Amino acid sequence: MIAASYVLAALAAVGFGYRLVAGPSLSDRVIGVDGLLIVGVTAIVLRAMQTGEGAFLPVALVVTLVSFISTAVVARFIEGRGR
Amino acid sequence: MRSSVAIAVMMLAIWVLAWGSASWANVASGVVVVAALLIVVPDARQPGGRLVVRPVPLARLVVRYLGDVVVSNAQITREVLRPRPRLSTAIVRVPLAGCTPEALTVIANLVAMTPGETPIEVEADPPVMYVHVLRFTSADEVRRGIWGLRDQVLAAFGTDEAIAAARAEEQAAGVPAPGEGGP
Amino acid sequence: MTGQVLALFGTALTLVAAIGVVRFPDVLARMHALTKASTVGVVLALLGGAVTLDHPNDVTTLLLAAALQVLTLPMATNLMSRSTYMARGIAVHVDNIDELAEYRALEEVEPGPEDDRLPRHRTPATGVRPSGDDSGT
Repeated sequence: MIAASYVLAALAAVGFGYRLVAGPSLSDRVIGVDGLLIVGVTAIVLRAMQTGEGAFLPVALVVTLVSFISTAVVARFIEGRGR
Repeated sequence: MRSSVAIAVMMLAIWVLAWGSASWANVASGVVVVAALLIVVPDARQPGGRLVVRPVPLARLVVRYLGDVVVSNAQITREVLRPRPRLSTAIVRVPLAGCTPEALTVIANLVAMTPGETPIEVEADPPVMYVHVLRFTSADEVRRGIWGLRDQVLAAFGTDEAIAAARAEEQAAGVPAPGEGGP
Repeated sequence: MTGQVLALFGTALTLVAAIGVVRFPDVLARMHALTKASTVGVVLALLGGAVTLDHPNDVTTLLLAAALQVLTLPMATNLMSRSTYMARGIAVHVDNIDELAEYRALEEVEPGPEDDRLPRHRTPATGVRPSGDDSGT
């Protein structure tokens, strides 16, 4: 069942990656990056469930915080720059 | 003073949770870090206003939030799997009387999970929220839905004057009180 | 076992969010899909991990990460929606009424240097601060 979760996460990453590359505006690309970071957190948790070792889990915490801050900063940037 | 102690306790809890175990080293370092932060950032000590919490309306609000989460995800799933997504978007202005900036923050975060709605712009003075809607039926319906949410949030967190101001605004717009029925 | 089922639901919901982000026609609609579906998807996956793993360190880290995701992800998307709407260069397509545009036209609010709600910023083309400073080129 974890293998099925990996496959679904990989497909989700492809979807978000498409939006990152093809998005007509900067906001679309930010949505793509945010989604890719979320898939990254999911992948970290799936790997921890598979091996039973939680050594990598604080990375999930840090990625959550970093993605929030970076999205907020780019939002300010988009508003100021207008594009 | 009491609210800053509550904030310090909450920050200490987050610090200890992040490190994992509540050993003496973690708690001691947490106390040092929290004290340093609260000294360096004086704004964090006093969040605005008194804190009013009523547990039964708060429980009802939590139940409503969970229900909204489930319904909005079901709606998004159905919309995504449809062969041709039928979206009819609109942006509606919703005046929210009686809301402090903290209440506006809570309402905005709850509206972000309500099926089909996200907040676009929130202004505090006078309290107004602009909401982007995916399936637009009528502006009044959107307003009533968000006023219902605002009533539940104020019932859980708001002072009595805020609830009275909200009630007055709804009566001016012709929305019946929850106790009174139609003809 | 239940942890793995939760994680499967979570990743399926994240996949639904990704399909929504690809298929929805408008940038604001894509943000709807991101806030609602992927927040719950990632929280379910984190809760599934918390149920499966044994060591209390791991469980508390995952629960804290889930709480932070619930608190920060909708807020980040709210900020993005607002900035996308306010940015003049990004086209936002609204099918029905747009009361915010009416309000902004009425008040003649221009998100520029005179607007005291936004901080002063450099004009991107020349890099000169728009405060009447003539020393730049």
